Amino acid sequence: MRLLEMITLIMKVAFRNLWLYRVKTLVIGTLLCLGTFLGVIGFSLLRDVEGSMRESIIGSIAGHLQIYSDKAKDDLALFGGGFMGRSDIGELPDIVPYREVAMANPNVQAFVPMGLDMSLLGRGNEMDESLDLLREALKNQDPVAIQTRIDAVRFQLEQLKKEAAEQKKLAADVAIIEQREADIAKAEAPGFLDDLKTVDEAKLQFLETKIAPLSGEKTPIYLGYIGTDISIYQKNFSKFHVIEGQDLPPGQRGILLAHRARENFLKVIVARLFDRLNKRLVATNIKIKGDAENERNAADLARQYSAIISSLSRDQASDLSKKLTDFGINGAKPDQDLITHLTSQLKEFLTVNDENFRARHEWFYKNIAPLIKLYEISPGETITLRAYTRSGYVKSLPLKVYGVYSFAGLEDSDLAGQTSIIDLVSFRELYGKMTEASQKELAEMRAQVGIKDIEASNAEDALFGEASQAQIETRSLEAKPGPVEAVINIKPTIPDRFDLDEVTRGLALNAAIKLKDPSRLAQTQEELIQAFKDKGLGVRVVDWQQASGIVGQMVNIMRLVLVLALGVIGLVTLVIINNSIIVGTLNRIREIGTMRAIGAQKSFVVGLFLGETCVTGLIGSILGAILGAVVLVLLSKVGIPAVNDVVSFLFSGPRLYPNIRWDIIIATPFVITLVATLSSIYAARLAARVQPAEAMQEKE
Amino acid sequence: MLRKGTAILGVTLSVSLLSGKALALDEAQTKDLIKLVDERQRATGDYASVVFIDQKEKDGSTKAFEARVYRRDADDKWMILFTKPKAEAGKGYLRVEKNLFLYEPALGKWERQTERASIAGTNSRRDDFDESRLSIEYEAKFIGDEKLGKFGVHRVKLTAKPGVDVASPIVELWIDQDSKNILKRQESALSGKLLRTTYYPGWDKMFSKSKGSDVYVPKEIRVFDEVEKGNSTTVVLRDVKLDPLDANMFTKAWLESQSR
Repeated sequence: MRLLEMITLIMKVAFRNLWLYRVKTLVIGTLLCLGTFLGVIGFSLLRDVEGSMRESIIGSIAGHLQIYSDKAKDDLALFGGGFMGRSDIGELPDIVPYREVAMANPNVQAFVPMGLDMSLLGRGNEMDESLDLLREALKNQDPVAIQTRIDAVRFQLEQLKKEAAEQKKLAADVAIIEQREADIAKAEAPGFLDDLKTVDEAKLQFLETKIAPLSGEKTPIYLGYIGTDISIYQKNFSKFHVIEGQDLPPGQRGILLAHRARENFLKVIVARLFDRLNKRLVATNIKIKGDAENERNAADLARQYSAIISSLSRDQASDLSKKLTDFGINGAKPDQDLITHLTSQLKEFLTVNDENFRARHEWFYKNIAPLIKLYEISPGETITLRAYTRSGYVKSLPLKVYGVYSFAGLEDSDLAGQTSIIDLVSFRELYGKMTEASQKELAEMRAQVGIKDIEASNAEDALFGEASQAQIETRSLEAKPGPVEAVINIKPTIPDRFDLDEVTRGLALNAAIKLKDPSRLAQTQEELIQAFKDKGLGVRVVDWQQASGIVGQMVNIMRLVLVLALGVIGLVTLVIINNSIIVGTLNRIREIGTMRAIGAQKSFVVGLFLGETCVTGLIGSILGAILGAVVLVLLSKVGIPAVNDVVSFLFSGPRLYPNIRWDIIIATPFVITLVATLSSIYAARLAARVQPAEAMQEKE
Repeated sequence: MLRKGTAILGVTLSVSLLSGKALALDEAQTKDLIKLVDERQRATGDYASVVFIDQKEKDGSTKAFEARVYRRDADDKWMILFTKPKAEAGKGYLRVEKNLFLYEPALGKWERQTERASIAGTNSRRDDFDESRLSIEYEAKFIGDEKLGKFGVHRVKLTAKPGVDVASPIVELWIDQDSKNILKRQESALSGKLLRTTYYPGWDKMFSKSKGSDVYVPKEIRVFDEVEKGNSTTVVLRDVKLDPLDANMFTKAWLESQSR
């Protein structure tokens, strides 16, 4: 029998058997179909995610490669660990030799020095802000501003009085509340506020120390930032763009706020809650009712009425109350005083559900947002960054906010948008590195006072030991009389410029390296490792995926999960295939024996069983691939929504639109069929061992 | 002629002073000792001095400040104004009762802070420059008599009284048996973890008119951080003045005016 004829015969018999044993065929076919479907979808999405994540990480802050000190105690983690905790990645004491080595490699396009750190932003409450403005108006002797500010303080006092009355009903220690009420009454009394025409320290100090603390404390904010040579950074990181304000000019000290950090921490809480609900409702279509997170946010939103009222003047409050009435929000008792009425109106307005949310969200941004300070910090203002040096000391530095930036496509990703950007010179100051001039000044001060260096280990001996000159008690005849003056002959200024040369040398913690040809990444990495080693520069050279920390490992984790899932499906399928062939063999002993008796070779029997698996595999897996392709086509039209911020970062945007990858769609069914067919060889060989005589003895 | 009671008191005091080195202090004596420590440092009127703060970090970097400290215990007010180095000049803290305000002269802005914040990020805190209130804030327990270098000292453990807000819940003092000055102070967390060790190698006593007796002022304070080993701060006090200060000094306006 010629091979072709044998294959044709095998196929005919195989097709007949597939129909004859259709339940078995259906089970195996379905499993192979499912496996192929998952394989096509999974590997296509994995490749898309890998691509978009690479784009997110390389294009935002990592570059293709990162270098940092080999003395680092922790691994560099640009997107993980670095935000909430401070990792110790050592330092590059002077970037010059590192840049020279890196730029000598023909595939290196740019060397971008960096440093990652975080600072604390202190914040006063609404009353602190109102009193600051009142003090300013009194200093400037502006009668209109003074009156406006006094009105604002009065309005806030009214609210505090109402809050105190509420607290009194619940408080265990009524005396404390009564003291508060007495303080508020003093501030409200005729002749206290209305007589303020100039800075009256006694009155202002009373308001600032007795009244302001009653408005509660805001929690401090930790602001992560990256210090870099901003001009080189902007040229090499394509995803970076300023969305509000202006670029940080070269040679200028300042900060560009991260869009997401500003939205998440510096935006007024009521707006943040509206945003969060809107994002989930619109982007991911998750309803409020039934979703724990949405319900929690909605409940929080309903409690934000006092934050709105405390930032309004009386006129604004009155106007808002009328507008709310026009909008159909009447509150409980319209005949009550303004604060009580507006409170009940706002409580009602802020109680949102799936039906009213969109309209109220829109109304909030149109009518309430313009009345309140939506962000605590905006471009043009100056903020004080307070950073902890490595040893825990605090260093503070005022910096002008030039703009707000984001990464293209990652505007909504919290993971990518938390790190603000400051100039490298300011970074070094906050990090605790002193300039030469400061070091000289410090040495002079120390010499003037004449302090001896003493180590903790021998402090007791040095200070009180036998050899010490300790004179525990001495007498000054009398405290020296005379005026106490401390007038400082320096007008402190906010440092605003630096010599451009300063960022080309000096300290950095790490550096990003951009490549001309990214396809030669691994080779360049090896070359750089060797080049740094040859020059005696102790650094670690890591790729973007390693540098990004846990985020970079996510694709590996996803791949592992996918392969494991496919592996489990594959294993189950193979066991079922083998079992069904073995059971089929037992059922078909007479048939096999007959075939063998009329001259069928063992190879024919093996071929028959392999043919059956192959045909089942082809039909099932091609069907699976077609299904997978159809789903991919649909997804490429509608996109897959990023359900949370991490996914949004992985997708490099709010939705992932998968590509139709024909190589995967075509290859997967063939690979699956081949694996299934090969795995049934053992069972087929078992079947081929059936002897004709043995088969003939079998009873039907 | 001495009255009987006075004579007994005199004898008791003499005995206790003579035998101070040999005998342990009982509860009442320990309490009195801490009261004495507070009382000797108490300046009833105003207080002003120049302080020099020198700090070393474990990584070898250093920082130094010169500042003026002003105190008015009667009103529970306190102020520190930095004069050197140039980058810090004009910065100041003003404390009025429980409120601590930080002034940033470059911005012309004030910020209310927590009272326990460290001063300008140094290892020193506001209570390093503040009135001593140990007997009010802590319960004292005598631990034993020891040697600190060549000096014989009473070792006393202080535990914060319930409900009192203090920077350190547990404080141990090594008090010079002869002069009754604190030579060493260790602060620990509730868990017992040692936080910092402070040495007072010299005290100056001066007569205060308003108090009508001597006021004891440390000349130098050495603070060693026990958490971040290797960090230390030295505070040197100079030009202590106990004369009344201007009535309007403890205000934001006064502090602002100093850097104009």
